[in-house]
Amino acid sequence: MRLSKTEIIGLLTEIFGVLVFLAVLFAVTLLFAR
Amino acid sequence: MKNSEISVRSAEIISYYAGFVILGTSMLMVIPVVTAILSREWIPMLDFIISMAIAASLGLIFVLLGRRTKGHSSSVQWKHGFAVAALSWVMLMFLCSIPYLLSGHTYSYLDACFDVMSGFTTTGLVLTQDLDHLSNALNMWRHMLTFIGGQGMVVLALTFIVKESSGGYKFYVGEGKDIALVPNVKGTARIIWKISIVYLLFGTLVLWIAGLLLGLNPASSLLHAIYIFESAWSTGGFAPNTQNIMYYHSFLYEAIAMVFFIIGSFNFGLHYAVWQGKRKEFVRNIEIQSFAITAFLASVLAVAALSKTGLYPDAVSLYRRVVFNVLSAHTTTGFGSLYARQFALQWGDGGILIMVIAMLIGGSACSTAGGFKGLRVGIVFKGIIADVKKLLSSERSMRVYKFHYMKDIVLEDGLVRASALIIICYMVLFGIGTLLGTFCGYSLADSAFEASSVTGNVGLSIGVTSASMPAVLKIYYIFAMYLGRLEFLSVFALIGMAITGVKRIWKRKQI
Repeated sequence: MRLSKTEIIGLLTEIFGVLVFLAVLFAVTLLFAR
Repeated sequence: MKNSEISVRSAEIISYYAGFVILGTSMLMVIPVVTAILSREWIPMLDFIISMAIAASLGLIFVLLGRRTKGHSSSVQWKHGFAVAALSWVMLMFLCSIPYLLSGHTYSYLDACFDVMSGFTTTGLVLTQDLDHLSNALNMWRHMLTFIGGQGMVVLALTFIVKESSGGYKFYVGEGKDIALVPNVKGTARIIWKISIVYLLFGTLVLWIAGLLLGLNPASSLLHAIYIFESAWSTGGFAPNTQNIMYYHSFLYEAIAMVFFIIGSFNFGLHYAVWQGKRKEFVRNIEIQSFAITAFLASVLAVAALSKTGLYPDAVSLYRRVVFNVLSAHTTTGFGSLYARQFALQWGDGGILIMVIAMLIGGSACSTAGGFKGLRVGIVFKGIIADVKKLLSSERSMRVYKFHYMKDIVLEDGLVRASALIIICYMVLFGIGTLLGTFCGYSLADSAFEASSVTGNVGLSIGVTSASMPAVLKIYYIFAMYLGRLEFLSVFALIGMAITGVKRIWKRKQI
C-alpha cells in the first residue's frame, strides 16, 4: 500500500484542519477561564 | 413464480450472504488467537478456538442452505441487501459474545451480547466486569469489533470473500453507508479500508510514542496505542481500563485521541475527496460546516455554564473535562474524562441538556459515527431557511436552493422530507428510551442522557448502564444501538420481510 504525494498532503490537511479547530476552542476556553 | 417460491428464494439469498458474513467474522477470530499465543494466555486461546468453531460451523450451514444462490448474484434485490445487513448484525452479536461469556468477565449472556452490540455499533457502553484484568486476547477482540463495526462488517466480509459483486452496493446501503466513491463497491470498500489502515498505522505510531513518554513499556504502549486508536477512529469509546481515557492522566494522550476521533467522525467521501486533492471540500462541505457550528456552540455553551461553577479552576482543566467530553459526545465517541456520576452530580441540567443534544446530532453520514448526522441537520436547516425565503419572496419568483456535499446538490422537498423522517425516527427511539428509563426508576435527566447515548451510538454514561440495571432496559438499549447504527431502514426491511413470509405461510395453510 503506497501513498501518493497528494494523498499525504490530504491526510496532513485533515489533521491540520482539526488542530486549528481545537486551537480555536482552546482560545475560547482561555477567555472563559479568566 | 409462486409467492411461496419467492419467499424461499429470498430466504436462500439472505442465508447465503449472511453465512459468508458469519464465516468472515469467524476467520477474524484468528487475530485474538494469535494475540493469546503471543501473550501466553492459553485459556483465552481455547475460548476463541471454541467460538471460532461454533461461528464457522453456523456460517457454513447458512451458506449451504442458500447454495442455490451461487452464481446468481444479479437476483439480489434491495430488500435482500437490507435484510442481510440487519440479520447478520443480530447473528454476529450472538456469536461474537461467546468469548466474552467463556472469559467469565460477564454476569450473563445478555451482558455479553450487550457489550458486543455496543462494540459493533461503535457505542462503547460496557457491562464487562473487571476490565483492568481482561486478557490481551479479549481486549484485542473488543477493540477489533468496534474498529470493524465502524467501517462495516457486512461489506468487509462480502467484499473480500464473495467473488460476485453485482449486488454489493445493496449490502453497502443496507449497512447505512450509501456512498459510491468509485463505480464498483469493491473499489469503494478498498478505498475505505485504505484510509482506515493508513490512519491506523499513523495513529498507532503517534499514540505509541505518547505512551512511551508517559512511561509505559514499549509492548504495553503499543497495545494501548492500538486499542485507543481503534476506539477513537471508530468513534467507539472502548478503552482497556475501567477508568477509560482518564487512566493515562495525560493531556497529550487526550489531545491525540481528540484529533483522531474528530477525523474518524468525518464522512469517508470527504476523506477521499481531500486525499484526491480537493482540499476546498474540507471547508465547503455542508457536514463539516454543520459539525463546526454545532460543536463550537455546544462546547462554548458548556464551557460558559461550567466555568461559573468553579469546578474547573483553569483553562486546561476546563478544556480537558468540558470541551473533551462535549466533542466526545458530539462525535459519538464516548471516551469520558469524567466519572459517570460526575455528569449527574456536577454538570447540572443545563450541562446534561447540552450533552444530550450533542449526542443526538452526532457525526457525519457514511462515517463511523452515529446520531442523526450533520448532513441531515444541515439539510433540514437549509430547508427551513428556503421555506421562509419562499414565504417572504414574490409568488412569481422561482428560486432553486442548493447545498454543497461533494458537489452542488439541489435542495429538493423529497430530500428534506427524508432527512426529517430519519430525525423523527431517532427522536421516537430516544423518547421511548427515556420513558422506559423513568419507568425503571431512574430520574428524567439520567434516563434522557443514557437514552441519547444509546440512540446516538455514543457510549458516555451517567451511571444507568450497569450489570444491575433491569434486563428490559438492557434489551431496549441493545435494540436502540442496533436501530441507531443501521439507521432504521434495514431493520424495518427485515421485519417487513419476516411478516410477509409468515403471512404467506399462514395463507397457504388456510388453503
